Amino acid sequence: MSKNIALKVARAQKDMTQYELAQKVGASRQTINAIEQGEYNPTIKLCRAICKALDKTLDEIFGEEDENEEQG
Amino acid sequence: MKNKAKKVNSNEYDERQLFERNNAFKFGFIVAIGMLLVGQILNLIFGEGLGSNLGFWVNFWCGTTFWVSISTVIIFMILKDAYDGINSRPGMIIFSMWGITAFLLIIANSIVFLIEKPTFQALLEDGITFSNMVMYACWLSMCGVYWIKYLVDKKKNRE
Repeated sequence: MSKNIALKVARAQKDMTQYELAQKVGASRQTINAIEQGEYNPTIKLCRAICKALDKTLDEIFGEEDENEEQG
Repeated sequence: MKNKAKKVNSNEYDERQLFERNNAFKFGFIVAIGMLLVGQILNLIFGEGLGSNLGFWVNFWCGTTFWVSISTVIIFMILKDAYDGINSRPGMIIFSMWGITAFLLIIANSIVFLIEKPTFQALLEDGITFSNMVMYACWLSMCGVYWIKYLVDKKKNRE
């Protein structure tokens, strides 16, 4: 699994720490870190909670990155 | 009412932690079965040497198997960040207490060994001493793993 850069960027845009985001979505900081590092694949329930907390869509945070990779 | 519900949830685990805890219990169960097999093999090899010493085997299966399996489960959880809850760190107190107690008991037992100077055979036949030593080692390893993990994570967060 590749790293979830989009999540890290969206969190930084909101000026939130991993801990703050974790508190907001009801998860542990380590879980948020594992998602960002691509070590854990969250359920749709947690994905939606994260997107809601960061004011983003599912596609923006958890969408496929193939298109970007192809362009780059 | 809302506040009460929040308090109850404060020790909850998130989905990843629950998944890892589930895996830890599965792993611990396999270790427990493995320990029983090891005990049986030891019984076959050394059974005659230990004679009809039921105490050793009862303690081996009850004490050693129990603590090795439990510590395997707990160490697995610690390494996967699934022991402590989302908003709580019960491990900090529990493992510190276990670690200190094990350390003190090892010192106390060492003094007794130095005074009594029991033979290796006598120690082997004394199942309680053997399983107690395993128990202290398990407590110490859980304490060690917890604190090492805690300090490594803290250092990583700083970076």
